Amino acid sequence: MPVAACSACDVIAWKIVFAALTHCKNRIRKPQPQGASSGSDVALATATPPRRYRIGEAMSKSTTVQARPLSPHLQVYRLIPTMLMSIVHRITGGALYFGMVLFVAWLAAAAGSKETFDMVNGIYGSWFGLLVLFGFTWAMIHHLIGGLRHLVWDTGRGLEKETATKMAKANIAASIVLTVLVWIVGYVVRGGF
Amino acid sequence: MVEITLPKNSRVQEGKVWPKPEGASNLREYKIYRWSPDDETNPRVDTYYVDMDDCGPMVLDGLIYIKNKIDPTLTFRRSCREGICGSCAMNIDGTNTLACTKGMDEVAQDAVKIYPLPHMPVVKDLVPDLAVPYAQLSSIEPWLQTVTPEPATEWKQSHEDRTKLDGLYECILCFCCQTSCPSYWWNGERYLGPAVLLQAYRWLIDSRDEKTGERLDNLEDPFRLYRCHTIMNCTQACPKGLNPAKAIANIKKMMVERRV
Amino acid sequence: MSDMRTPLNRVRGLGSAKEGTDHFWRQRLTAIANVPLVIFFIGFVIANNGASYEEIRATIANPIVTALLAFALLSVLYHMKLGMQVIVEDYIHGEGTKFVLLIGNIFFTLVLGVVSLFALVKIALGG
Repeated sequence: MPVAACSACDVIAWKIVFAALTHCKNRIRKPQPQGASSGSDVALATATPPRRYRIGEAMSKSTTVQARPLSPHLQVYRLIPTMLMSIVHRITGGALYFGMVLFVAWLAAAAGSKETFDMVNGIYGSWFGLLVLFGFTWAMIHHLIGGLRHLVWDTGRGLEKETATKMAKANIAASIVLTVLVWIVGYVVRGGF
Repeated sequence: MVEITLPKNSRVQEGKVWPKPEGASNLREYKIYRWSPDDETNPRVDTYYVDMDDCGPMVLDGLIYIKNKIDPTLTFRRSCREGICGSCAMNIDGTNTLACTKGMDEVAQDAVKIYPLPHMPVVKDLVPDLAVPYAQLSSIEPWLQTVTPEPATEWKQSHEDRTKLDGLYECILCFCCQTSCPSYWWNGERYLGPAVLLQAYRWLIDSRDEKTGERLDNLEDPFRLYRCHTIMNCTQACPKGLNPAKAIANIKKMMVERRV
Repeated sequence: MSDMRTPLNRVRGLGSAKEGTDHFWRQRLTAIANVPLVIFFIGFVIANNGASYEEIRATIANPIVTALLAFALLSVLYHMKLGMQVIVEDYIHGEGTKFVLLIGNIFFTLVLGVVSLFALVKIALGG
């Protein structure tokens, strides 16, 4: 494995090796300087093409790689609207996935006896059931609007950062407004007010 | 399972507070991630105070001030100090950017918080190991590939086709976007990431390149390309104002285009 | 165990799967279908809010409603399957767990589909 081509890097590489040796923590491999010019290069050139530098090669792993910490990510990254709405899109998607069980159960109950249907309706109509259904409605509407956002992006439009941020903010605002609206209309239709 | 928290050896601890420069009245607080392979301790965050009357306006100026005047062991990459080399990419105030083009006045908080580029192995302090992204760049073969025998003069390109490279060729490979992407955090070896995909697109739409199909073949993969979920951190982060998310969207369009 | 592969080796991995576009395309296709179908679904729920057992069954038995609900279920469940697949691929890296979950995902959506379509047909036929 190539470690370093220049002498300064060699010194650093050896320093790392030395540090590792003193701590007796890592397995050591002797670094082999590569690409150092020698007189035979010209003679070899006809037989083998000159070695070309490839990206990613020079910075292969050093002996201390195992001990290297991972830099902080979620812990430090600023939660910006576009990122947040992407996370919410995923969470709502996951919630809807399992939430579908509620609709399928309701439909199956409707296909069954009146007693089963009334029981399921009773559970869904309890305060807890309504809370879950309210959340389900919001998740559905948010995911729907988020999906529209994605469809716009897929055409290559709306990807400028200011536009995308506006769309993210509009997504959360619209989903909340529409969810409340849907529930108000639902109650009005039922004659609840 | 993806690790959302940091591994045990990577959890950041409280570091030390370095003395304030003597006689300085206009101070700016810096909180900097520190880790050295020579220590057997976890990474820590050290606090420094920069004398603003004796220091330039950029975040990088502050780092250089600290290295010169307070703590010479502080390690970071820097070179051009004008946003063209891409060396001083780091996480400043929660966003990836170049320390040399980020003004201290742009940081709203009291302390300027600096971490290495996220979710990367740390070589030392603010220096991440970029071997994997470099290898990814290498894997997309970022050079002109042709079958037609090379013309005596040059490969010709219309002005129109040349403008298609605008917004792509300017990339300085600082990997601010690459390491801002959560999808890249979770699938860093299989997903090529925004910077590399932007480069891939740069060669895909180059009118002179004759390997477009092969390039698309290589990218067409659930992980290499399709881990992009348009989270948009890349575009929001790019210190050069480029748009990797748009480049990726265009690659996805090409993928659909070639089969309809 | 130390990983001595070169970065390029790790990155090239097993090569390109040369697919993924089909998944992408179907996800969008079902997404487009879902937009009107989900809006219909919301309207359906609002309109039948508080309806009795007999009323609900009569509504669902209407051929247009049956068909639209069937379309909605198929499209939504397929979209769900595609979406959950991506979530699993994103976060689950252990090969064993990943396979179990990917298979479980297909079975889960399939079961929901069979149960709901059977219920629909039963109601539509007045059973």
